[in-house]
Amino acid sequence: MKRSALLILPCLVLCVMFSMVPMALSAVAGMWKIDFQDNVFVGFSNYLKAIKDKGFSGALLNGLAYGVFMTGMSFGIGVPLGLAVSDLPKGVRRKVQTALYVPGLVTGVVLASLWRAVFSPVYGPLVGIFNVWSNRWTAIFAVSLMVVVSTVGITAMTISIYAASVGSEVREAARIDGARDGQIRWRIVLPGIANIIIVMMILNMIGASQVWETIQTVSFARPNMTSGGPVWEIYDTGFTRIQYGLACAKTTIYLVALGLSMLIVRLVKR
Amino acid sequence: MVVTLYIPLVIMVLISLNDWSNLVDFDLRAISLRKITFDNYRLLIVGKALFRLYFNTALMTAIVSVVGAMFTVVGGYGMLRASAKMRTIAIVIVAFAVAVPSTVVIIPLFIEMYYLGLSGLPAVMLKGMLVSSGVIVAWQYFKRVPQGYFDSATIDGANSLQIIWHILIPISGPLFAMTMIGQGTAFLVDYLWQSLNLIRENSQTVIVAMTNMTLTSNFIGILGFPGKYMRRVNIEMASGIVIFLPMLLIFLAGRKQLMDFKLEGGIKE
Repeated sequence: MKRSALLILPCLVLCVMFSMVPMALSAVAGMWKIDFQDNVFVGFSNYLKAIKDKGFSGALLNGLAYGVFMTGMSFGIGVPLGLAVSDLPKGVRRKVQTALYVPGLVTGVVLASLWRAVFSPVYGPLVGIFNVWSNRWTAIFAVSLMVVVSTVGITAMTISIYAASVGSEVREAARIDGARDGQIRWRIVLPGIANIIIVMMILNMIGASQVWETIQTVSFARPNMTSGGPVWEIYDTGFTRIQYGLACAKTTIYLVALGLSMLIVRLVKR
Repeated sequence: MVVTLYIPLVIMVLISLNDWSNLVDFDLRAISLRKITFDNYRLLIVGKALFRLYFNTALMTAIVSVVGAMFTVVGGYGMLRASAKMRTIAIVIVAFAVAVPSTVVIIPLFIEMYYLGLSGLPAVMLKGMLVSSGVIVAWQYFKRVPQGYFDSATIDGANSLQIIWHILIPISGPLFAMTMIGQGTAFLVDYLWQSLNLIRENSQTVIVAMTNMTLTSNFIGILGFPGKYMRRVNIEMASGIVIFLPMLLIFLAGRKQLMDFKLEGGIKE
């Protein structure tokens, strides 16, 4: 092995430190009651407690709901928008792509103040009309909407970049054959990038289930802590209820569930 | 449609520029273009805490962005020189880091950092420097550089670091920009990890202090300006804009390089 190959080590050390070690540690720490002073071995009791915890199973289900809502809205808007942008002349397209990217820089935490005010049941514009935080599913939908508003521009921009990479000669040939702009978009360009969009959607589903910031800063998992996602539930168990061992057990179960769902997606795709 | 995406941002800016005494409650009808004032921003600056927050943020973001970009270039070159076996191991490790975001393993990560004695600022900086898929992108980017360049440099007696400095870095502008923007913006919005580790007020970043402030309505405690303990929507909006500006600046600075990024690299045979 060439010595210069060792140059990759700093990067790999950090990757191991921030992914593999915590994963392994999570499985082990799940068997301990941790208070950073006198840690006590408790076997699988944390795992049993996590499995029986209705809040946690509800959070896993919420994770799925966040995934469906966010992916549905994000790609329902992002795909047509991205395809439309890809048709624009190169100079204009770049400007529009930039314009799509900028709102994505305003992340959930930054927009939290605005959304808290918009959906406030005390002083928001919807007071007396509808309280979104009164129902678990409307709360999940509201949080999903907030995240989608921030990220849909980036989704559309990414799709427009891929769509624009479908060669102009292919579009021109279709045009000569009498295809209209809409037909070219939906019947030629979209099938050409369908695989990329599917991968993006799967990643989006997984990412959506991990929403934490918007829940923590806006919804606080209302009503009665029932609308939190898995990551929020794990955070709450560890840092609010100070049950680190139980939180680690929940992390391990969530990782196994994620791994299994990815495996199922792969099998279905095959 | 694109314009619609800006509505939340425009509302935030407008509310932040209105007289705070008019807008204790959220009432869009109270927004007036004739009563524009920078009082909310002035109030944020009182006590000079904001300057300290910006200084901390700028310094930390600059360090993690540059070091992260260096790790990407150096790691990409390492991938190029590695044996097939080592490359496979590296790809597996990177794939794990991509598939398991640190947000998911936040509790065990917190425990790990505690027992390694890295809690606090070191934990924040190390996570900021983490590059995963960037190394694979850099490897693909450098694969397009003609082998003759490396051979000639080696014959001339150049070592690996000299090859990276004199050959790879000059052609890696777009790659560097892309990594720095990615690292920088990710660091600027990483509230979860930073809020867990940057407890001391002196070391806090803009995102931690501003978000904590709006979550607790503790304007007096954190920024020290005179006011009642109450929620003031327009000051919250001003703090949101204060967090947004550095991200916008970073993006605008590297926008051209980012948009010009192509995997083919800067050199062709």
